[in-house]
Amino acid sequence: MIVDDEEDMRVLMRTVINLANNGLKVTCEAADGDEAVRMWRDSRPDVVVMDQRMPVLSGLDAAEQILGEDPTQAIVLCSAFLDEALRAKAGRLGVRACLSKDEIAQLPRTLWALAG
Amino acid sequence: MGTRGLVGANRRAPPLAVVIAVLVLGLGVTASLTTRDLLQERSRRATSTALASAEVSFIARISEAISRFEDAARSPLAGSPSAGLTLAERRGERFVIRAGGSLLPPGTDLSAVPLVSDVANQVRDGGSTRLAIAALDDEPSARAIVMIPLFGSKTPPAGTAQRRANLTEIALGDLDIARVGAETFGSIPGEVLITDGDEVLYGRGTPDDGAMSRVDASIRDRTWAFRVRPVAPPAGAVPWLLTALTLALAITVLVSASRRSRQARAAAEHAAALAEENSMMTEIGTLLQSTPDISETLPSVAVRLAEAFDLDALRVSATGPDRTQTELFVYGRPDERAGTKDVSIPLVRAGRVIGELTVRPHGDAPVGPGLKTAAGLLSAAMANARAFEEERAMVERLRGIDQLKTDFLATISHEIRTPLTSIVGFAHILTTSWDDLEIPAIRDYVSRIDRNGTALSRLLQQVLDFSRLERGKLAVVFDEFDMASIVRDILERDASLLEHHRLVVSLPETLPVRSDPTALEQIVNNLMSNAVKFSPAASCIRITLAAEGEDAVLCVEDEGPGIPPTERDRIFVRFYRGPSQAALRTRGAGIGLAVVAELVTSLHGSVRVEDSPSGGARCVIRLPRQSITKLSRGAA
Repeated sequence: MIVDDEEDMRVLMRTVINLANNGLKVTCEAADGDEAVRMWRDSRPDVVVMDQRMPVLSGLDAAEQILGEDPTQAIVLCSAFLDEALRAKAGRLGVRACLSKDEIAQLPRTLWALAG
Repeated sequence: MGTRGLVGANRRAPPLAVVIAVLVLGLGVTASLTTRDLLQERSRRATSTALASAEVSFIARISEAISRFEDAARSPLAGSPSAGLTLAERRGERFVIRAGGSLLPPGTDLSAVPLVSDVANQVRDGGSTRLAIAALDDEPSARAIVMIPLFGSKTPPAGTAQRRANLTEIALGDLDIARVGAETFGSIPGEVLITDGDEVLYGRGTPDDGAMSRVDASIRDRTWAFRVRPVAPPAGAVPWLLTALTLALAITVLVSASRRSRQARAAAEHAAALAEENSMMTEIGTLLQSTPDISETLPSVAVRLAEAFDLDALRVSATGPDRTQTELFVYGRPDERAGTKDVSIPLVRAGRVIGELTVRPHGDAPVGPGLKTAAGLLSAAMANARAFEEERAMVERLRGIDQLKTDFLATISHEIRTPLTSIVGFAHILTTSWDDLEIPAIRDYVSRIDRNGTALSRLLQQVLDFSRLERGKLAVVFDEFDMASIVRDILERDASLLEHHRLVVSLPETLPVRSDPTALEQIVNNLMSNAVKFSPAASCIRITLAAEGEDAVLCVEDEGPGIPPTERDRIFVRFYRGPSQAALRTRGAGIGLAVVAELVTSLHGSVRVEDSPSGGARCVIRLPRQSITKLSRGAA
């Protein structure tokens, strides 16, 4: 599942995943954290790719809710502005990986590592 | 500290002045007494000399009188009244007073007169003149009577028997001692007593035999005792004058000493008051400087001032820039009682009135200079407090601006990276997977690259504007142009910006203005971007331009969530992006509306935000059409 308030980013991540053509499939997309939590409950994807800076509910707030319900859920925090504080906070919540948006080409490999 | 602290305590006068005065008085009295004694002694000596001289004169006059009586008795006119003699003729063995004399009544037998009878016999037998002392009836003094024997011959007979036989008469002359004594001693002060044996011949004053000096003198056959005692006349006015002068000098010394003592005491009290005042000023100064928050120290300071300067009431107020008074502290209540004499002291700092100290002195006590000094301290403290507040507010503002800048940098990082990531990502896909992509996908990716590139460009323009704002370089250049045409051109050129919204435009055919077309273009662009950003797709954005009087009024209205009244001023502050959710939902750096506000101000116009009828926001720009011609804020 891809969660990002920017449509361009959702399209870009979906395209990168699809072009990797290695068995990965985008099952659903959400534009904010609240929508992501609701969709996750319905779709239960293998991996959630979550932006941090979003309206209504931030990526880590949404991740906290999801991990509160299912601590085994694999979540990748994909943000344009990743600093050590954000990485540490994500690690404490149980987020499996953090990926900067300018490393978007690495996304398929990260997903496989988590899904496999 | 005690109350009424600046009023000095009374002190005892030093006794030195009294001692000096007593000494002066003592010396004066001593000098006066000595002078009196000296004067009296001199007077006594003079009197004594005069008395001695008078004695000599007295004896001489008595001797002369006796001789005169003797001469008269032996002259043919002895019986005449002019001779002053009383004659006693011989009748046998007796001597009887003849008529014509005044000393004794005619017919008086001398043998019946005590003392005289004996002297008469002695005169007869002796043949020479003798003096008889007779105490007559009712006379205080005895009389001295010259008794002169008269014989038938010019010379007395040689033998006693012959003299007894030949004596014919005895002449009696009154020496009138009282008259001679009065004439001789009358003008001389002192006591005089002339006696013959126990008989007093002349006496004056209150003779005291024991205390008088005595001189004996022989008058013919008699010895008279002269007792004199000079009586010193009063010393006169000199000792009294001296005493009075001394007393006056002593009083002068006392008064002078008292005055000097009072002056010294007043000076000491003044010095003590000054010292206490200085101490209080130091205390107040220390209090006022103990904290920049004057409200903490003002109560203590006010109470201390009221106690020290004997005030019934005191009020400290601050004067605002608009001259309004804000009460800071009140002790008592000045101005409440009618007719009270409240005194206002302006609190001045750097030539500017920053407050007022109003006091009501207790009773009619004047306001001393010390209170004005205290007012100076208050002024300084209030100015410091004000400066501290301004500094604190400035720090708060700077912190706010710093926080806004921090937020701006975080936002701008995100806002730059997001479109850049899209551009790089899609470009990478096109580069690496061109052959695997279908034409519609390629067109879509290129379109996304284009749109993000434009967004990035606009963002960079805002960063540039921010930089200009920081350097104060947002300059405007006035020119004459058609504002309607400019707005129309902007709308046509940026049509893509409004592609997801419905645009309703109301423009006049022409609207000539004298303004800055570039600044105007930036204003319209930023307002349109703002409206698009904050209103949902397919909603209506309404742009109107009209002339209103001397102004051109441009309105940009959207159907978004609107702006709460509390946010309407803040949205024009640099970097402010509205409530967090609105900021998160939209892109932007918080620069656009700040640039609009700066430019509108430079164009001498105004900008405000209000509710639109749909509930969205309506931004209203009002610019003067013609009147402003001068350049503003310098050329770019």
